[in-house]
Amino acid sequence: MTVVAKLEERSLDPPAELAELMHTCKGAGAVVTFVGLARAKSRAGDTVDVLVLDHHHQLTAKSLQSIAAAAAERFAISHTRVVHRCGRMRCGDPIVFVGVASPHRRAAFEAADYLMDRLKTEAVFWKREEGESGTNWIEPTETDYADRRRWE
Amino acid sequence: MKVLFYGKLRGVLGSEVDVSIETPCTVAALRTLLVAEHPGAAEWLQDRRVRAVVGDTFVDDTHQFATGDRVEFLAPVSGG
Repeated sequence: MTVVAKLEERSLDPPAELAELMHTCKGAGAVVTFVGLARAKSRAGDTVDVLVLDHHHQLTAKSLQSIAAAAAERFAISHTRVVHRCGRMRCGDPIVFVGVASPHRRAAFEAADYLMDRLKTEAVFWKREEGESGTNWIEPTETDYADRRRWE
Repeated sequence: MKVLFYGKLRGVLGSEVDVSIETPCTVAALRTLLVAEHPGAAEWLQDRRVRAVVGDTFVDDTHQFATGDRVEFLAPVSGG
């Protein structure tokens, strides 16, 4: 079982992350990936120029490790790869890469879904959008918290 | 001592404030002092989702910290 959880301060290259996962998971029967991108518009429909993800010097990396390890423990998966950006991003920039390999597809789909639900609500980041409506802090929505509770 | 803030707390209080408080002291007492000194931030400081961290470990409001401890308050987190 392999678990990788990384915090990237400068850039995130999803094809390179997928290539690395594919390289390391030989023998697996399925790979599922998810890539989250910085949106062009806020929930209110205003243009977003920059998305900023602040992080904590210790707790952010620890939270990524903990969430990735929990997925590896919970699902019948062989490889877990979580790479998360921090810092300033523009529209279209990748924020997060989640990749999971498993012997059979169902576990990989479920693990990727689980990882994202936990990252949305528990990964130690603070998001803010800067754009035409000024600066707005973004917190998880009730839907995000409800999605997280599905796994309890 | 300095108390550090993250997330939307920073928008209200800045990244850190200096407080004068006798230690050992509970996190709850520190919250009360901060609310008294920064009433404009009361809504955020009293939000149960705002968690305290002492020495890079999450603690509850009954935790006692000492002089020299790094005390931080974290607004609700959101990744992904």
